[in-house]
Amino acid sequence: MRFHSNNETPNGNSSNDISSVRKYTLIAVLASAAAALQIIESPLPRLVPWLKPGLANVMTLYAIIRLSPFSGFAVAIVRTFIAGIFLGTFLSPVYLISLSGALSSTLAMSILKKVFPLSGLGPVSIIGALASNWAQLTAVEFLFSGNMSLWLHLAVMIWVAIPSGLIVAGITGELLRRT
Amino acid sequence: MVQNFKKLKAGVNKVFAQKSDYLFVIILLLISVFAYKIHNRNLTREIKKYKIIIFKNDNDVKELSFQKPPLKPVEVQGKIGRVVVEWNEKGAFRVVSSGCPGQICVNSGWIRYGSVICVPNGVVVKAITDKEEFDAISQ
Repeated sequence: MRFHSNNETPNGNSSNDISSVRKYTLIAVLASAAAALQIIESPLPRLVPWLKPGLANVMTLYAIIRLSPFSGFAVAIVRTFIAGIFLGTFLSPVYLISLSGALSSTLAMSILKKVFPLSGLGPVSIIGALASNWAQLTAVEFLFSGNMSLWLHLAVMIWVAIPSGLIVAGITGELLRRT
Repeated sequence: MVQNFKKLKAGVNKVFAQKSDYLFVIILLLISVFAYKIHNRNLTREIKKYKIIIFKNDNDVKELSFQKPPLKPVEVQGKIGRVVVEWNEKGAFRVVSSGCPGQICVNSGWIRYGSVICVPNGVVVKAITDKEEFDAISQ
């Protein structure tokens, strides 16, 4: 299976339609794959609540790089929606936390990709993991008014974000190579 | 130049495309270490001075202030008896003896951050830190 964002066909008019249909289909496929990953990942045992690889980020990163930042946002919003409905957390605090994490990680990754277009997938993905973690913590603070030391969390968060970001970057790189 | 750019462009979809990517990870690790240090520094408090406050009655409040822990025990006259306070070399303090019935202040033992209070004598011994915080605010 091969996807191209700019499909060049001999007759100029219809190529635009085809490419936009392809684009939206690809967004839909990516969003459903990301939702499936998030649903599969949620019951896996983990040491700390926020210590998970965040495999759904693979699809968001793929959409940002293959299509556009806008598509990345579409994938992130649709996947949290679908996963929220299937996990039964739709519009609950857990859903809001997950949505804030997905949106901010997409925003951070698109900004980094825009500012440093030649940087590899690793830093982009690590920044995404960091932003998602940070946003989720902020959302938790806001919703439950917790009292946490932000500096300690930053210190721990980086050690969690680097391996998870590298895993996501590796999978995304393999996906980009194969499709 | 163009070839170089193409080479860079080709490596974009790798996990680490440039040397600066490795640098990025190293900088992040350094930030983590610094954040931990800042966290630790915020935890430790420094005692600026010690105060002994003596309430004789509503109009007569005396205050003794020490920049450093006094070497000899300090004896003050409270409402109903004499209170003897001593410091150890680490800066912790305790009430050695007090002429009060309950002896709660004496039984409080060594205190480093915080205060020892003898209510019958109206004597408060307190360590003032550089970060004075409220336990809670009631309105």
